[in-house]
Amino acid sequence: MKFVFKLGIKNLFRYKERTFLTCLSLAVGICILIFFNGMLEWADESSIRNLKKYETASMKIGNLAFFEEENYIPVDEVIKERGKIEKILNGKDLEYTPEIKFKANLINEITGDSYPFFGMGIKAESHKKVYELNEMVYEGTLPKSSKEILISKYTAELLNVGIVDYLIVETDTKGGAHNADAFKITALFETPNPEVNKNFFYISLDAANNLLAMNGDINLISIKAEQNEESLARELKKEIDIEGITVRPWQEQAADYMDLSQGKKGGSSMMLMMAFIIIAVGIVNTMNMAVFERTGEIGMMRAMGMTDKEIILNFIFESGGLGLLGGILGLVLGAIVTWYLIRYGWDFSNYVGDLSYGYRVSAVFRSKWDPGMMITALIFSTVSASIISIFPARRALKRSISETLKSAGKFG
Amino acid sequence: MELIKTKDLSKIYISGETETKALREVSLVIENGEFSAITGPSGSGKTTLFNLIGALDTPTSGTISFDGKDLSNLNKRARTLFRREKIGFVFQTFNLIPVLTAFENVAFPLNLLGASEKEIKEKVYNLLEKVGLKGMEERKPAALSGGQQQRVAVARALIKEPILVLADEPTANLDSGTGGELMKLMRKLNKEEEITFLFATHDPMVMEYSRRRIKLRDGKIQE
Repeated sequence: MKFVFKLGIKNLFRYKERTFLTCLSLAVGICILIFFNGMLEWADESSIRNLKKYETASMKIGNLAFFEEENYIPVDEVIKERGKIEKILNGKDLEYTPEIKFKANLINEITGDSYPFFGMGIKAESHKKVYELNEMVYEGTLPKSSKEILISKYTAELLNVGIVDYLIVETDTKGGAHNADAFKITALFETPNPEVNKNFFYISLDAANNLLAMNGDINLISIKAEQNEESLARELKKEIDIEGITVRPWQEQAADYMDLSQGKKGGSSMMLMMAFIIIAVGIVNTMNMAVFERTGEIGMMRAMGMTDKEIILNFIFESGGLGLLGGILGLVLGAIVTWYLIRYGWDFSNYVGDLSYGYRVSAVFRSKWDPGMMITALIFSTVSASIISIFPARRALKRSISETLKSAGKFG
Repeated sequence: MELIKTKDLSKIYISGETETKALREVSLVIENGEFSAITGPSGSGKTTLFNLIGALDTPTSGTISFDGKDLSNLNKRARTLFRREKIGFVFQTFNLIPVLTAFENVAFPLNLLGASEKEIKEKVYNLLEKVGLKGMEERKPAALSGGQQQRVAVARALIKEPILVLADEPTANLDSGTGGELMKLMRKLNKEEEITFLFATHDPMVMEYSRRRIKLRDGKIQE
């Protein structure tokens, strides 16, 4: 076995140029795999972080009817027995913040330009403990007084306004009446979550209460939790036990993202399949040539008493060596690409702008170290290369020894 | 003492609807320690007979025995192990493995037999010295002349101390001087080691060195 292994490794370096080119093609396959996987892992991790920090919190408490028609935003579907809920949350020592979410048009009072947005009435002090929006605010703070509005840099550019300009917020009250008021832009924000940048503006809870005539009601409570969100949400719902009130963990709120994330798992399998095809094509081609060129040599080895198993093993070691070398080279290339993306990122903003396509990440793509995938890629490259070599070797062994010796012109 | 005995040995190759009778009822006895040549023109059946004697192929009909053991009915694995243990091959174009050194090429059959590293070293260095290749152990085939390569091939055939060496046109790719030296070497090994040598050739020099000539024509013996 040791001898067969040594022979396989020696054959690996028989045609250095071909070995190098095959390894390079494998390395490119592995590098692409690591590149896409790292980027998707980063997008996944960042999306979850950016969802919880800026959009969904860990979970939200609200009226079931409100959640079910969230795009329509029925502001009259308020939280009942708020005092009981807050008592339970305080008892569990959880950070939470009350919110009024509503639909509104933002209107540039000078140009008359108008766009639909989601408005959020927030309480600055508690909002800071649940979200990290305040850290993404520049030239100002979260809105505290009743006539201040916080919009994103994206919204400011869209409406062609800036700090100290006024925007008209036009909406329907809880009772269904039409209402509008002017708000002064006191700050701009830019989060890494494009959905928030594109769709949300913030005013104080009091201002939202007045604008929507909520009579002190709120329609959401956002909660920050360190433990497993889904199990805590179930536990809270059970304890709250108010008809029509539910607790939605971030996973349920961000269904669009979750669908994408699930799809990514299929995408990873697809990537592995693509890498396998690249490896298979490279290896099959190289090993076919190796077997073809060494027909006479295989015949000689069989004539001298080498068994079919030993000959196949010889090719497995050679091909596995190719896969291993290609895999290592691919890891090095993949590591360089990953390092570059982590350090500098890849700015896609000129191509995709602020399109979020479900992921809650900015247009500057980055990557993430994924040692598990790197090891898997290396093992995958070595094992699949080894397996693929069996086929040409077996085909060569189907020919009779005398035929292989004769075709190579070596015997007779 | 009989080493090889064939009786009514025939081999027919079938390609599509064409039947080629390569050997026709060949009956032959090769004694232990012979230094013999099978001669004949191309297509006379020399290689087919070699393939059957060397257990590289199976006969269509007839029997072939080696040291009293019937080879005709051995399965694939048994034939492989038979070749591994009992037969040494010398090929027309040397057939050395280019990535291995002279030492490693000669050691190849011993590695297949699972010999220890110590035994391999002892035997290979001794035999390479015997065939006049001392000091060239670490050279790869590309760094050896044709004659030197064929000496490595002979050493490879002999290293496992086989009962029979089958050499097919061993001098075909060598000049007459180198070919003569090689024949002398094999003759010497035949005497010293009592190994049976069987050549397939149409080289007159090989025939001259051989003690017995077996002529084949159209698949039949004309001794």
